[in-house]
Amino acid sequence: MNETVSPLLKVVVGIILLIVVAPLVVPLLMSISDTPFIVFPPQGFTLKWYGAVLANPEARASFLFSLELAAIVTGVSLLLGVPCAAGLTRFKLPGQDAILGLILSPLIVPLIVTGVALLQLFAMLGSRATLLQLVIGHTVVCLPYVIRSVSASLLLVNRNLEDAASVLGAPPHIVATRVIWPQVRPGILAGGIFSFIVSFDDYPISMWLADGNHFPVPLYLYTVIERSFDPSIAAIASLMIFFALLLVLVIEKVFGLSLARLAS
Amino acid sequence: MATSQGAEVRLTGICRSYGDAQVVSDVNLRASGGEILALLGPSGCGKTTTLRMIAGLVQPSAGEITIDGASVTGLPVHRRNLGMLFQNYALFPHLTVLENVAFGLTMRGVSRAETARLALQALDLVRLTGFGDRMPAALSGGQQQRVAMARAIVYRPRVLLLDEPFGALDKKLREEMQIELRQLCNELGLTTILVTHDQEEALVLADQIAVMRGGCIEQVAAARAIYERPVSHFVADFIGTSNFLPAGIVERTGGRTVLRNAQGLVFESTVANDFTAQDRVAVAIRPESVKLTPGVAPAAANTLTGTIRRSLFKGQIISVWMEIGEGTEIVVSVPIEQAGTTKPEPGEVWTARWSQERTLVVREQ
Repeated sequence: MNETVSPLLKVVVGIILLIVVAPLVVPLLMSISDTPFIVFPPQGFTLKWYGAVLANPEARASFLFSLELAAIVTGVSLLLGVPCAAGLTRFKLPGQDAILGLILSPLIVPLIVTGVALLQLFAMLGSRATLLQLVIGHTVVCLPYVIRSVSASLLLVNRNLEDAASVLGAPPHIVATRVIWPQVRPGILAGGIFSFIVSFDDYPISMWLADGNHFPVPLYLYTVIERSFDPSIAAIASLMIFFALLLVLVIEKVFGLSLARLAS
Repeated sequence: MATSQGAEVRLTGICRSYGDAQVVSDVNLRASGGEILALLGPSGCGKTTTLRMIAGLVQPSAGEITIDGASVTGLPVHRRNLGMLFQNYALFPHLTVLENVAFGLTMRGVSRAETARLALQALDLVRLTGFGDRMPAALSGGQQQRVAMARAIVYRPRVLLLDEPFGALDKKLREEMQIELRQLCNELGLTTILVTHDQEEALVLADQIAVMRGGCIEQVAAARAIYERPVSHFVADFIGTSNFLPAGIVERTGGRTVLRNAQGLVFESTVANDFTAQDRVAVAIRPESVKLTPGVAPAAANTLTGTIRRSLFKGQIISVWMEIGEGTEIVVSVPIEQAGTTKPEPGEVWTARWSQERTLVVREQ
């Protein structure tokens, strides 16, 4: 912890952070511009665009729907992903690598292709259940994130601790809840939050599967851009950034600290 | 803490194989109540697997393990009521020291108040009073070791199992901990089974030592007996150092064995052995059993003449290598007090002698 960090490293990390974060500042600045259209740099200061967005029932409905969708998708991804990760890390199965490759493939195939493929599949099945289709589509994309982060934390679990607990008299279910769970909790939490953010931000899958009653925020944002070009677009984008930031802070608060404690 | 009576542990015909590899074959062992038994051997000799089978963490492929006469072979780990110290302590990193120590009591459904009382008492016993609220990561290696010790004994297990418990500690701390552990085990009357590859640790800690090699028990005996009467080349070499001179038995009379090697040198031993003239044996002589005198001496039993090749200062002793012909060397330990007056120098001719009681006869492989 108290190792000296070289100044060069600080500069390089600073530049990388700047490149990553700088574009996010642009919509934030544009969203407070007191002009009827988007300009940069902003002119004047107003929060009316935020007011306008929050007062807009369409925007509110999209936001709430995206929250609902992301919550369901996260739940389903964890429900499927945690046992899957446990199986893949704990047991030696035939074709294990093939299974893992298949699960992770949505990260490799362009999302738009996955979306089209799913649309064709649902069309062939004659499905009209939009919410279910969106949940399935998003879960396919979110599952790899859950499985990756849960597997990573399961691989780090110290098997000696399980042995120690059983020798001390803990039956298997207690070993799972009192010894394994505290060690994998950060991984599960991180997987869950990743999955939430990925679902919340998804455009290419939703684009094919959504309908007017199930209209996630990214799609809404896109239609607003097509209709008009006032700073409320920047306000929506800013709200999404704030929301993601909030989740990252939650990760840091809950799981960043516990990681530090385990690692020290 | 009241003394508990340690249980007798008995292994009968224990085998374990992984696929085609026989890791442990036909191990028979007995640790009587309150005894400290060391499983000693090089890495890969099956000692840890044997210990894990006693714990129940590994199932034997064949054989039976009994504790106080009752078979535990099929009993799951958590019902065996054993204590175990792991190589890297295996403390729960997310629990405080006190919670770690209390874990075994909680699992046994001991009341909250009693758990706290016993756990604090156990911490006192390992001299960690006042450390209860710390996290394991905040402790030094020796302190973590003591927490692990407290955690293993707090619920008064029938048997304590130790898997290379001091491997991660530096030499000085390790010696301290060994003495502490020995006292603690004796105080509590715990039957203790210890796995180690460190012969010194086994000699310091154990009442009985079982030397293992390639999954088999090579010899089981009291610590002192195994040093003074090793049965095989392997044991004599693993515990302490020895000079080996292959020889054949030519005569056995009463308690005395006479041997002769290919060069016609004669050795006499009064150390008990069970070998016959047909067995392939060697004479083993400990470096510290040999006395050196300058010059050539008339031929006699247990006497070798040779040229000093080199010597090495090792603190309390000086190791001297003497060539006794055709590339055969023996090593002799000269105590530092004697080296002041009689110090063999390279190139000089000296005579080595040792007594019949110090002439070991061991099985050659």
